[in-house]
Amino acid sequence: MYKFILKRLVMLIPVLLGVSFIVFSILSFTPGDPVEMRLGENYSEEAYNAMREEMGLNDPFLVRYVKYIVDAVQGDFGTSYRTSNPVVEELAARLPNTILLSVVAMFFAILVGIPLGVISATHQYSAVDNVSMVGALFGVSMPNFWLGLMLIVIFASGLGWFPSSNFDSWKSIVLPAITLSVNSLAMITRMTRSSMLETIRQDYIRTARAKGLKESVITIKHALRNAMIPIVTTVGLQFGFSLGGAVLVETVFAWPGIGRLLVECIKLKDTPVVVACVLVLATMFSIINLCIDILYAFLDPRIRAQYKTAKR
Amino acid sequence: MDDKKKLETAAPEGSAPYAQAPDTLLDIRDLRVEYHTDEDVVYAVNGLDLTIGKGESLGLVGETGAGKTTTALSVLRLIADPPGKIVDGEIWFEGENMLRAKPGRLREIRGSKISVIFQDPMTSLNPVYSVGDQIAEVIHQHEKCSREEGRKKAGDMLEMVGIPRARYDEYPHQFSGGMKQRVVIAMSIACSPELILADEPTTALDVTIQAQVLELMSELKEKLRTSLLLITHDLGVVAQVCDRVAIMYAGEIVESGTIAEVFDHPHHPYTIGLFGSIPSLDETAEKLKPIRGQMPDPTVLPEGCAFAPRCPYAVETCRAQRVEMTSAGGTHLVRCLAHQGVFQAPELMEEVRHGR
Repeated sequence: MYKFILKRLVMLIPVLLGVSFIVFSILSFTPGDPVEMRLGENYSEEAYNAMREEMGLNDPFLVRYVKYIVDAVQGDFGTSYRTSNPVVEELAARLPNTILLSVVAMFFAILVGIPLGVISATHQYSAVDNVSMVGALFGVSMPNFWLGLMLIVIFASGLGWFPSSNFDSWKSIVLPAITLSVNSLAMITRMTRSSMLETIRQDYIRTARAKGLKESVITIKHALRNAMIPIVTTVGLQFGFSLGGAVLVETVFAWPGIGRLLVECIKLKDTPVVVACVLVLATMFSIINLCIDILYAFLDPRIRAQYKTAKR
Repeated sequence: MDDKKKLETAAPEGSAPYAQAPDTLLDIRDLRVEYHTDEDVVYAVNGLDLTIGKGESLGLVGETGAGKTTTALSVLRLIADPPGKIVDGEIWFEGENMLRAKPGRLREIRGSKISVIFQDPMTSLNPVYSVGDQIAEVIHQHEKCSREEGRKKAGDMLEMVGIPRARYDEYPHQFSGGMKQRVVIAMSIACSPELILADEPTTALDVTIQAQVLELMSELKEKLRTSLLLITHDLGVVAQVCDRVAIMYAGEIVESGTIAEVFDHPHHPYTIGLFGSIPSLDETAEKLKPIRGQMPDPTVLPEGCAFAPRCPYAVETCRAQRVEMTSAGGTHLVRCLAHQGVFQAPELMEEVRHGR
């Protein structure tokens, strides 16, 4: 098992190299001059050349990339073109906010989505099932930003229960977290329902019933545990997406997260920050996936056995 | 709603309103089970009567789709509803009508007084729990005991079916089909039930393993003095394990009796056909002798005798009226108009006299 985890972590290295290379080259070869962005409207040619030299932009592309990587490995991700602050500081200020928002949103989606999906499956075609499935359809198809705006109109401007922006108390996370979670919630509910519907028709559920077990025990211990693999997969993917895809929600609610930072920096050609942001997101995405794979092994002894044999 | 009323009027509270032999353990009367799909109603079991005595083992034989499994599952009300529905009948077990038992009572009986061995051991064990824990689970459900006692008893059960205790913590995927069926058997005997419903317990296994599992079942049956309802389409298995046999066709019993009665002198044309379709070791046979035709469509059953369309001896009367079971001597019952003397069928009588 440890060997498996180690192997996966080592595999992260080529992934991150690839990701950084792609992002780096996109930013280098697309139009737009970071020097110009930095100097503003009026500048002399001398100042321009001096700045260009200082930013190291006169070096060939590959040299710049290798330099960046060598520095990055030592923990130096450069300085932001935009603010001249170290990139690490920029990220450190934003990343926790994004993680907090995503974690709260995912918690909400899991705590509501899985029970709702289970009830929908065990009471197929009941009122609960129909309502939650229509709700899930809305959840999947509704654009995030629109829902966010509607929540602001109703609960912030209208009822005044929660603030629409600013990050000061626990109240300010409620609306953005709900907005961010709705999509995942809908996906998790649907996945739980369909996976449960499949499992509760299995023979071993009939065996469990023939043992005289209570329906609740059968549903949770025997059915849900077996239905968890696709649910866990969905949760993992949604979690990953919500980390990187919170841009719209962060924008609507003026949430100081990494998504917004990323978009600002892409607009201003702030290459060091963009690459670092993408690297951080890619790393988190990979680690979440690794956690999911470990969770598979925990859930299913057959997968556990595969990991063990792969080790030899 | 109507169906429920029918059940209630037919079965007053308390013990069976019928005269039962004192050693009767399970008494199924006029059981009717239907499966309702969007288009059709499948009449799976149509007025089935069946009794099993204490310590007795009964073989329920019939071809696929005859309603054998439905009958067994009905006893513990394990039929998936929807689409299945027990529309009429009574199932008396130790003075209780199972069809009117409350869910809590039903759970007490399931696994402890009546247990089930399902057809396919590959799928009837939960893949994510160890086999020992799955056996211990049924023990904990019905007996008050500590974790250690449960573990010990489950281990005893494994040893009883010939699996070393050391494999307690292994998972179903680490067992072969035959071993899995042993685990299922261990699970079914864990709470010393009065009755085991075995639904084609060897069908999914290969022949050598079949023999082992059957031997194990016969052995345990003797040792534990448990009654057994053995569902199979293999007459050889019945002869090996059972005391009595009931032949099922299109949702009803067409012939029943002791092994000697039915096997030596099968009376019903269907039973005769079943025996006739088994190739003999002594004669050289070019081709098998199947029963011609198909079982009737269970959504539109024939008016009269369900076997009439395939029966070589059938006459017009057979197709017109429903046939009741009549005695053919001893405990031997048969559902056939020819044996009631309604019409003459000398060829059939010759077959019967000749026996096997």
